[in-house]
Amino acid sequence: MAETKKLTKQELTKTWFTWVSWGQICYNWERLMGLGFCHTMTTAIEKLYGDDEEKKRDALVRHMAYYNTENTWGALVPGIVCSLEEARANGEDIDPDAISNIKTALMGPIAGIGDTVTQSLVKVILLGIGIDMALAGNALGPVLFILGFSAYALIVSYICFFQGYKYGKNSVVQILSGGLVKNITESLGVIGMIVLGALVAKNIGISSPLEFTFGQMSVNVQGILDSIMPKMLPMALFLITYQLLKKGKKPMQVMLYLMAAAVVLSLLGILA
Amino acid sequence: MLGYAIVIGLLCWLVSSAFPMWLRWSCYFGAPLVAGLVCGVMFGNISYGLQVGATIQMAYIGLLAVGGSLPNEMAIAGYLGVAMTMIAGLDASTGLAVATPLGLLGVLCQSAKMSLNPIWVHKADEYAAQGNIRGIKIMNLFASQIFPFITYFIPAFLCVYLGGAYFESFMNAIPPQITSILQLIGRMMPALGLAMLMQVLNKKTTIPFLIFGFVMAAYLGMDTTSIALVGCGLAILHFFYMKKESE
Repeated sequence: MAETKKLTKQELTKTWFTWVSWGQICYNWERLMGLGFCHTMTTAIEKLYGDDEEKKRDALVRHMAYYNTENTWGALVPGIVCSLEEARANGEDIDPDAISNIKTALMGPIAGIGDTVTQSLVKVILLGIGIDMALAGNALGPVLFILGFSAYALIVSYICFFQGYKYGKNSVVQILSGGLVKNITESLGVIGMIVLGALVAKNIGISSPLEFTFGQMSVNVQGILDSIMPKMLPMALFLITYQLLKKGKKPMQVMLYLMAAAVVLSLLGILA
Repeated sequence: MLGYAIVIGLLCWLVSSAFPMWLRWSCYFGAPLVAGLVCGVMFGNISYGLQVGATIQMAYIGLLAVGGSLPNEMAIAGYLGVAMTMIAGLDASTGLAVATPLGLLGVLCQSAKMSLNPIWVHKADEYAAQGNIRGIKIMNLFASQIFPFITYFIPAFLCVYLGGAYFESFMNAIPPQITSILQLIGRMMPALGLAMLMQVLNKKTTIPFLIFGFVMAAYLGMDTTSIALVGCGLAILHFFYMKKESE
């Protein structure tokens, strides 16, 4: 019996860092992150199959397959794959096809969670703060955004990768069970919604320049609207746009509607 | 102009392709905002840069890249869009009218890169079959940068280097009615991004929080950081209540 091969902490850290840095660098329509995934696995493959040319080649070819997920939460998968390859290299009965199947099975659901949390929650909240500071003339806005978002990517992917390695293929069951992820996502959605409400008021900068003059008295339309509810026009535009999307209009179509509306409303002097 | 053109070209290329992913997330999705600071420093007018960057960024805040593609290429829209806006000395709210068309053209740069990169993947297939790990790494890290350099660096460089001098007089020749239409489009466009975001986030149980956020911003005039902090507190409460319910 050969001695057991174990990936060291250093090798695992290198694998994680390769994934979170270069997993998507050769993004392409044919395999998306396939080459990046293979590059990620090279450290582990060299260690585990370095003494067996044929197994090494098989493993490299196997990990060149089509692969696409979200990078941050998706770090879970190379973690799991490392633990499976390690077990396989030590003679456990793990079919190579099973490893590929796990990759394929996980990439979709993880992208679903990852895209939502990374792009529609963390990104929006941090950007909202950054924009706010930049508009106030504070150069720290963009800097804090870069630092915050990069720290998020590094920390979350590090945790996901090592959790994946620790629990192997059971990790997903572990993480997805008990509705914990659902509860966390929905709670993060609370922050997302509250910031969204704030952004509607802050980011949609439309107002009405209309003014009516009756003899001595002039009436400012925006003033009346403000006295009913501040930021009424931005909220109305947001709700109309949302309804259009909800009815199944494509974002590109809605963009054209908005442009057409802008031409008419601007020329008539109703909106500015 | 040569120096500016090189910096903008490099940024478009690095942010769209070559930076490590953990850094690209922020520099790509926050491209206009970051570009505002970079160009502000470069052109020696930081407050103008921040204004332009933040204003353009608003329109893109809700955009989501699902399955790897966006309707607008953020690196080009951001770095090139902000630079051209500042070169022409345009009002921040007109900036979006410059950035969006550039971003649409940028989608072509992205498609070209995505369609051509499989060449290196096939080369890497051969190296994998030979067990050549070094070859795989070279394909992934270096070969992958050849097409992005051509499709991002060169167009962005030429746009600033050759177009920069004429862009100001071109934009100045545009009649004021057109400019105010472009500005109104710029002010309306964030509604689309935010509505797209609403589609992703919308859950019956979290709609009340949309109202809270709106009131805090519109009536109380609170800044986004403090609103997000209140959101954190409410999110923790929400988590506890949901946990209790499921028990």
